[in-house]
Amino acid sequence: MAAPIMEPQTAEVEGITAAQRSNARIAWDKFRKHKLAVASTCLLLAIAALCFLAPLIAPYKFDAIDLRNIRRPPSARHVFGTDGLGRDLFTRLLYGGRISVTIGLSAALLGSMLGTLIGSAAGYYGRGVDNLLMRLTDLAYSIPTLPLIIVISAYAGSSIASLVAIIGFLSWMTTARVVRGSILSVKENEYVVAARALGFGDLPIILRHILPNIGNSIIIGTTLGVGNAIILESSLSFLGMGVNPPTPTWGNMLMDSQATMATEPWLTFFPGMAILMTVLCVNFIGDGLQDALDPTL
Amino acid sequence: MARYIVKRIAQMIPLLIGISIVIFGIIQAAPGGPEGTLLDRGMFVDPAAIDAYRAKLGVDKPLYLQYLRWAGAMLGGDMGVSFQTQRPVLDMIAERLPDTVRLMGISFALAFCLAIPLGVFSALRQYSVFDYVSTGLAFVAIAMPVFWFGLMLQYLFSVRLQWLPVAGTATIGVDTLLDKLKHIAMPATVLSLTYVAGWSRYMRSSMLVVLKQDYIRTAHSKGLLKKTVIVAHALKNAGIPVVSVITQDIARIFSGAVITETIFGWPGIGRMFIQAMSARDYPLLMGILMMGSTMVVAFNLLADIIYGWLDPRISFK
Amino acid sequence: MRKKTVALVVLLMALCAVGAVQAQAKKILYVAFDRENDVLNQFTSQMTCDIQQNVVEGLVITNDKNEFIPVLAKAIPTLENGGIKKNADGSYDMTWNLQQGVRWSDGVEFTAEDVAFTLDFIHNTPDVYNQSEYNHIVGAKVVDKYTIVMKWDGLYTFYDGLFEAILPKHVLGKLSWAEIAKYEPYNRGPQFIGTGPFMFKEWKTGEYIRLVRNPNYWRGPQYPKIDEMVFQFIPDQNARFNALQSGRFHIGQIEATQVKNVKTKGLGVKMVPSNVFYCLAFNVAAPGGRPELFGDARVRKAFYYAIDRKAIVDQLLEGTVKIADSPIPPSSAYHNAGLKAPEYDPAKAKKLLAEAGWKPGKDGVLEKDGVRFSFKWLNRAGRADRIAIAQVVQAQLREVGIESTMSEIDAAAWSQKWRSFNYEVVVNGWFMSSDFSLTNFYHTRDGANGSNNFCGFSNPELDRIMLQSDKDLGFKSRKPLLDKAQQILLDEAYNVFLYYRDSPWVVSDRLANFRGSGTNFGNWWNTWEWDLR
Repeated sequence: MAAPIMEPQTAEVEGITAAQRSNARIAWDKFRKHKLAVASTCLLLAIAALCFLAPLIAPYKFDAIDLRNIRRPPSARHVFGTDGLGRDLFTRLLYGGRISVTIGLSAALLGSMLGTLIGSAAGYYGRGVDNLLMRLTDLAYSIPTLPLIIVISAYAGSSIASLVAIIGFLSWMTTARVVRGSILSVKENEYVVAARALGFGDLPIILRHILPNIGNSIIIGTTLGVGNAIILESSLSFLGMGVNPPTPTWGNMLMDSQATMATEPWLTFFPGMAILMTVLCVNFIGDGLQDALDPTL
Repeated sequence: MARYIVKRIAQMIPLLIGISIVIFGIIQAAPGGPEGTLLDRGMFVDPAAIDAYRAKLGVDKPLYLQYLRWAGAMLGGDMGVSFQTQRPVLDMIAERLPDTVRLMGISFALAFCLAIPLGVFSALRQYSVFDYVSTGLAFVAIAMPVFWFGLMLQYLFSVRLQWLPVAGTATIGVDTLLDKLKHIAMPATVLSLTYVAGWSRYMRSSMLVVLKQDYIRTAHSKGLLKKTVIVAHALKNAGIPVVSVITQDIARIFSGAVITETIFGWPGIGRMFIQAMSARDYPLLMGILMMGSTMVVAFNLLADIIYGWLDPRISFK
Repeated sequence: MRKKTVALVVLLMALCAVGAVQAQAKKILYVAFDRENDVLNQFTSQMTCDIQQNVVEGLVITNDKNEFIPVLAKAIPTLENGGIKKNADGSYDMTWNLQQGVRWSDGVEFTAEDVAFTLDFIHNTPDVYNQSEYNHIVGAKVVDKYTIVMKWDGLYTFYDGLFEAILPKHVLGKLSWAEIAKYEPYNRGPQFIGTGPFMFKEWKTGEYIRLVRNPNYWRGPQYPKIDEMVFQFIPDQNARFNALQSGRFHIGQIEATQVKNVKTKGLGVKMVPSNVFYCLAFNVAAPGGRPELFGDARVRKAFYYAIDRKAIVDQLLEGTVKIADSPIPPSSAYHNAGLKAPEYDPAKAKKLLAEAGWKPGKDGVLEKDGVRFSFKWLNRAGRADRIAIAQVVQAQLREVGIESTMSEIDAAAWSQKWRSFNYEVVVNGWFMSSDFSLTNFYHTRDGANGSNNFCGFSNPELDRIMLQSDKDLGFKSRKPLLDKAQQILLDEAYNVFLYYRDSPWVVSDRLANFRGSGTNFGNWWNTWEWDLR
């Protein structure tokens, strides 16, 4: 460890790039060993492919209303049945997935990234920075979601990008608190204290010594966030902020099925299963990533 | 530490003032006003009556004046009078507080007692059948919308089996523990399930990290009993992320149960908030939101105090 | 000694038996109710006042036949029965003879002073939603305890729909008008008293309102037959449906799509016709309207041809409602049965639109002078029935080359946008008052007339006929006027009428004498004779 002290700048840069390359390979090998994670990745890709190729695959138009075939159970003509306006449920599920998967994944990632950024800055630098950022979090936490959404929907149009942004900005606070709390503890570990004493820069310390220790929590936060974001989108459309009908999303399909779930359960079952599969896949991928990033394995 | 706590409490005042301005701005920026309820009936309404109503409530005045009037009264301990009911906001909140706290308290307790062991055992037996089953169930709970689960329980236990009542906190004229339990059983189950799912996942993941740390391995190699190791070291060290999440959820006590309260006709504050929002009942909204913000600020302070207890190396200055 | 003991025991047993029988016989009506009230004072409440109808009575109320019937008044004054007399100065004197021997539930006698007090309160409370109607009463004179004469500045058809509630002067008389509006003991009980069959007992916030039998009800000691009414607030429609299905409730309103799923033994569904009609409303005024699209009557009329209303009624709403061709429902004698709106015929719609200059463009969407026929719906979030209709109509319009997109916003914001003409097209519903005046909804909106015509159209002939009909108390002379007005509304197609909403009510087989009423006073007008068997 003599070299870095004398030439911290260059050694650090070279060290990281070299290490990163080999680390990535090691991580990938570890990830591959997690069978469920690999299977989940494939399934998630398959779901995404199906959804994004919906115009080619779907047997009907997603807004083809047929009032004479309302709420029909699954049959040969409609494999998943029809909804309250006689539209083919399978078709709507495919189209709905385009929006739900996109929103679920991107909003959750955005929320986690924001949360990680703010939380690690607060936890790592502590004192004034911590106080400022955490009071900001308090403020963000105090802002009521419902009125905020009504305001935004009244003054700004709703597009997928704006939905992702809104859900992301509504959901970073928990991650920030979790990350910051963990860092407060982790940064007192001997190896972190040592690295600081050795004059390592802040970013490398955070990236190499701190994040791997709290990566688990971030991954959990993200996976939980995917499900939440998909469901939240549907509550947004309930308030007039989400995706407008007749465009389907898994969330609004679930919402629409509320009134008839006891008598026509397929209307609830299929979108519910779609969300469940997606969330489960994301979770197992998360597990695989945890293993991959775990330095002790 | 004591000085730190005093400092933080002193900070709360400007923070809450800032929050109140932001919140006031947002709820006022939402289009529509308190006259919306009247129009919502679908009956003819004399426009002059609407103007008179707005004037009576003072919502025709400039925003800054409305805010100053609210803030001035608030400083004197007066939360204002609800537009809808013409009653003091404080009374309305106080009336619903016990039922809200009861439902949330039982749900949190239930969730805590289930989630922590669930997360710990899942971590100890990572990739075991138990782990997969609890993971699977946790994600079913997350993917399952609250309204769906609640209505399904109602359908099963109230319509089919006729064991449990659909709505309310107690049968009129009956004051027994059993009756109260029957009423709270379904809403508490629904509510706690979502918390169990989230909390147990956090518990599991942070346990996994801690279990791999050197000092746990050392303790283990020293031959200490496995159980003791876990309790003494791991749980305490793994607790920080879980504490962060749990305190955040508890801080949302007034808004976290809206759907459950609506479906089970539970007289909670969350439902009152939704109604106040659709009626644009600004004083009531401000009252509920400011209490909520105070909870957020207080519970984040509490979380910081607990961090220091879990890991004495953490020091705040 | 022993005899005495035996006698005592027998007596005790007898008492217990009586008590048991009484406890068993207690008839409690459980209502699965959709909303919680704001205040009990009917004049300052922002909501419809169903629960209060059981406690407070007015001079009149509406029955199941859409007629006004006297309650605390002996009869409704008319020109024929001499209750209304014209004065030399053009004003009218209307004499109300009140029921004698009616007591407030606290024992104080109800008199004409209470009626005068109620009028005073309304005149001094400008936010009463229909104060403008009461303002035509320019004076009131209490002749004796049971007679009050009101001086009107003219004749209006709504006169017999006023005074649906009377305030107790002996409770509120000491307070200022502003204090009454805030007076919690009246707004929330326990001083919420009336002359009605039930008395206020308890309001558990967020949970229920409980009423108990008024033992001194003026219609006689045998009324009411029910001992208690509990209105449990269950806002969620699915939960309410579950509650009714669980058999713990005797009555409650459900949704049209739930009707066929009511399967619990002992429960039936009663379709209560209501004075609510649904329609499409076009905005032809600035700032948000689209006169270039909807300014032409041929275009509006083409919507009738383009929309399959029969399919909406029969399939989407499962035949639980009736197609509407006018705002006045068939349950009223003023309904113009001779009207026939154009039936679904997309080819005719296209032809009519072509006549108006709208020709298909490259992508099939109609165009005229470089303008695409494309508009935006403003949906009210949470109203699933209306959003479903908008989607169906959207699809049907697409077939004739009309493009439309959706936007959605919460109810309070919706009504503000709508009221300020900041929309293009909405699915709307109106609740008509039982005098079926059309002026309130269709009169030209100008400085003098505060009508709720938020579509921005103006038809002088219609205005004239409607105003004339509002002052005509004779059925025979008023009917042709309203018939003509309905004809104009259909011809001009300012609204595309969709259907009259019948409300499905789940009613227990045990509940007797439930007769329903589709007016804004609701089903509770005859609860004094309801019975649980």
